[in-house]
Amino acid sequence: MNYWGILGIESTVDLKVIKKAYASKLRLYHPEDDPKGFQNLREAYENALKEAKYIKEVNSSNTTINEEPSLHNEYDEILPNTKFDNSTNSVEKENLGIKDEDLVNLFMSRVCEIYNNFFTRIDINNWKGLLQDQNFWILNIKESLCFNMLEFLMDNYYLPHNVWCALDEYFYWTENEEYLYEEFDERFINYIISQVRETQSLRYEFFKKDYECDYDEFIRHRNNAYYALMNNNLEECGKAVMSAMEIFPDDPDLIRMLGIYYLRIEDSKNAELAFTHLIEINPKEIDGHLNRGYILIRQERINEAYYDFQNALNVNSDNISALKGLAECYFHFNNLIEAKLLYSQISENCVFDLESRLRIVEINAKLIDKYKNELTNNPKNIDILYELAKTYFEMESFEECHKTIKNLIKNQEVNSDIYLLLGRTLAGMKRNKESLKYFSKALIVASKEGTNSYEILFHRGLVNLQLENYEEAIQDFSGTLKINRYNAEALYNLSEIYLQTGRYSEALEFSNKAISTDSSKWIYYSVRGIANFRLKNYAQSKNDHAIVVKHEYSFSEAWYRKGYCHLQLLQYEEAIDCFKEAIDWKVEAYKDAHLRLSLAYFKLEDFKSALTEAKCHCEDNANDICGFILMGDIYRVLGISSKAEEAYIKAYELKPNSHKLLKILGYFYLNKNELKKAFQYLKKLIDIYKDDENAYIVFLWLCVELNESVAGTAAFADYEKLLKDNKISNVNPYALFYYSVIIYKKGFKKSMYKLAAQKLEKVIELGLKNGDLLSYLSMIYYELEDKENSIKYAKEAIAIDPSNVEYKIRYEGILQYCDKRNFLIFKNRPPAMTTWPIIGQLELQTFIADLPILNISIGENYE
Amino acid sequence: MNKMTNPDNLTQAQLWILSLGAVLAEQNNSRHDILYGYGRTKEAMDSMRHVLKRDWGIASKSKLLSTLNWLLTDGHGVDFLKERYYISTLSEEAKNAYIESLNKGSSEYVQSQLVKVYDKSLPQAGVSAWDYGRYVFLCRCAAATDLISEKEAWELMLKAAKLAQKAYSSWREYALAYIAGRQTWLTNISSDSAEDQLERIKTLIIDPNSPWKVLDWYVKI
Repeated sequence: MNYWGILGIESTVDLKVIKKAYASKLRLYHPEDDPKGFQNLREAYENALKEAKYIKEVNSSNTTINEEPSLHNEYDEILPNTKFDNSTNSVEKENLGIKDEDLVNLFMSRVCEIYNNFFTRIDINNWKGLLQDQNFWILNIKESLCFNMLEFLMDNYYLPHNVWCALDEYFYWTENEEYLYEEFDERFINYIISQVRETQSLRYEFFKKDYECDYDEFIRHRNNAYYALMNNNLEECGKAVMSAMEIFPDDPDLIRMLGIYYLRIEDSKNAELAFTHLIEINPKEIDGHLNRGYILIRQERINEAYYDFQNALNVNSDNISALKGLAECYFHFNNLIEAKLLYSQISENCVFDLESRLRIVEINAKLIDKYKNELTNNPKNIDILYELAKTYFEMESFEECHKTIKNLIKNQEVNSDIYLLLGRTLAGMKRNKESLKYFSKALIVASKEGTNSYEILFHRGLVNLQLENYEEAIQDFSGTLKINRYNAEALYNLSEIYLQTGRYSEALEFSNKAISTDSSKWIYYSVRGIANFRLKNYAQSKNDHAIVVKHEYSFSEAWYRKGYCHLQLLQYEEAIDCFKEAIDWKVEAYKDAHLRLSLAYFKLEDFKSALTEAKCHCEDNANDICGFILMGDIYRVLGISSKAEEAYIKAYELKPNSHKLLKILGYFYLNKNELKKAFQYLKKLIDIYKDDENAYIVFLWLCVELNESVAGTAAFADYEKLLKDNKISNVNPYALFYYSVIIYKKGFKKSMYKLAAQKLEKVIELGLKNGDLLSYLSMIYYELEDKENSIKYAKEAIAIDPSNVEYKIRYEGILQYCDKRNFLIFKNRPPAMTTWPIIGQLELQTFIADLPILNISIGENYE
Repeated sequence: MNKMTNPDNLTQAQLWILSLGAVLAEQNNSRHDILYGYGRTKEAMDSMRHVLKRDWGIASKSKLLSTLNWLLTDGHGVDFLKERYYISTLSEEAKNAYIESLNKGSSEYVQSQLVKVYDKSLPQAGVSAWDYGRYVFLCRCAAATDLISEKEAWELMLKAAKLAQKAYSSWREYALAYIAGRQTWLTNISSDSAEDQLERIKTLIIDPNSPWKVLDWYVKI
């Protein structure tokens, strides 16, 4: 038999397949008891490895390419409908003559008949025969049957699992659980339901007809032992298991429990005996071998243990505990390579098993010592040098690995594998630029060898990514994906590159692909979460970050981003929880976690907490105006105006030319009716920022109120320029209104009055018509000696607001002058403004001067 | 890892006791050979106070003592044992059927998988090492932040040390139980998480300067 035959596989270059085959054959040859068999196997393995290395072809990884994970479920078996159908039951009619009660009695007598004989009872066929008997398929006796059956079972409840299931299928107990709980004792129904649902019940198939004993009593003790063992009630368990053993000593379930019981009381001698007995009774079952194997390992009887694990694996070749036991035997035999191989297989199949990972580390440490020893006698042995270098690399001892490879290179022509290892080692030593040189050499040599460049490209991609050579890294990872498009790590790294280069849509695309290839890596969700975050897909980003923090609880930035998403989604309570975690875990990349937390509290109207957090933000970020603005807003809501003012002023001092702050302060003082202060900030605002229409309107109003005609005229000129520059044809009617009043007040010339009147008429054309405006217009026409319009507009003003006393006084005054003298020729009448001065303030366009409650928006990029 | 120099002339027993908390000490760049391994600077003390509050809700001596008591009498080790008693009662076939019947994403599923894989390797104490290690860590933090005196810290730690020494038979066994406990607490069976757990003990297991390499498990305490 050639070595492929010994390994039991076809010729292959896939090292994984060879290793797997070797690992699976290891259990067949005991290294000490069958040294020849073991030696042959090992030689076969080594030869296979050598041959594979020589003929390694590019397509070694293609085997996985077409293996898409199956998404299809197994076909669900459609169970026949066993419910009674009254209309189609022909037998029912034949039974009409028999009383229902008799039928129920007949059924129950057959139940008793089956139950009373233990071996009839545990045979499912007897029950099936009864339950399928169409004589009892009558709907109106079903309930009665069910009740009678349950009453019977209250005293007779030792049945195998399959019988319980058959009864449940017939009586629908599990479907009508609630109803049963209403009618029967809770503990009894619990028992019934557990018997049906428990997949791991004790078996009835090992009892012997020719062995006379009280099986019911046996089952009672066995059940007691079972539940006592589950609850680790060892005293109770011991009593029950011994009583059961006295009745029937050959039940595998009981013997297994006996062995476990002895293990728990740390009586390994009796435990071993029990498991030996179990093996004798039922050698086809894995439990005896497995448990005894581990007892033997603890007693350092490795040779014997080996055979137990071998037998266990003959029963179930995939059993992880048995494989671990076998690996442990090899470890104790000091067959380190074999032990490592087996542990690696276990690690691959059971990724969460830490013991195998730990053993690999320990084995590597031992292997290093072993190789170093071997090299003292044979320092130039290239095979040992290479193995030593690889082991150092696995242990992340990069310096030592580097030295070893250098030594190796002196003694051997270098192949692509060695260049690759050297490149990776240098990368491990953070000598990334040097490592690139060796990856390139590896690629050239691999091309000459005709070997696969997949790994080389992948690892060079990683280094290029580290060095921020993004385009090169993209080429490398794309190259690996051409060879194997299901490489999740390459997909992930591509998404990382796109993220770092601000190409978020591509980052999203590749992270999606990485996740659909391997959904177990939290880091893939992190990259996707960030891509979604940048793309403002907050709902998706939130979900991704939820996965990230579940895996990496202390990942403060992930908590922050999750919180930010919740904030955007108006989920303030969740946002608060996340920001708190981010702060607790010392988030560093984002400086405004306290501010965001404060905002979330603000939204929930918890202003006290909001204030505390805003203060924290200000302490940590003394030069950031946002915290002070938020503090000002909070104080305003709390009605502490002086503190609000202090906070806004503090922010203003930090950034005296901030548009936002000038406006906040302007409006803040406006709302406090401190018009001079408001004027001061708004003047500065419109002097710096020429494009804020609302600010112009409010400022013009202030100019009216404060009689600042020069500033008002200049502001209106700037405002008109803004309109012209932006090709806006419609002037705001309020702006024009206020400006008209400024002209009028500046007045005392007919030409000015005419101009003011024209502009006010224009305001009316634009749709603004209020009492103030009309009253002003009436006064202007009064100055222009236009009796008709003067009276008309004075009247209209009163019509709009009949309660306004000023309008009335003006109207009556104008009329008075008309009555006493001829209005048109009156030359020395007093000016309207001094005769009927305007006492109240002009109406300000209502919405534009409102200061928002909150001046920091949740998603704002701050100044 | 730096060689232990034992500047405070601690006894072997005291060094051994501190080594029970070596995983967290290593993680926090703490020395293994002095009680105040994390330092006594204001910054270090603030940091420890923060950790005590954040991770354990401990800000007072009474809360500390109740937490320590919980770690010794219950801890996460008891949850593991409850599950272990159940799982180990079942046959291999029944174990598989039981685990298969659980919802794959549920914590019960994860716990059962972990209990099954470690049942044969871990001693009776299960993963209590995870509780003992944290116990020692808490005592060291509490002493360093003046929640308890140095004397009290040693007395308290001695209690855990006696239990730990009886429960396990080697540093390796203790280490495996510790990370298995952490893994169970995290209810995470991903490969990434397993790698992360291993990283926490790797150096302690192989570095010749590691206290676990220097100190014999059966040091008289």
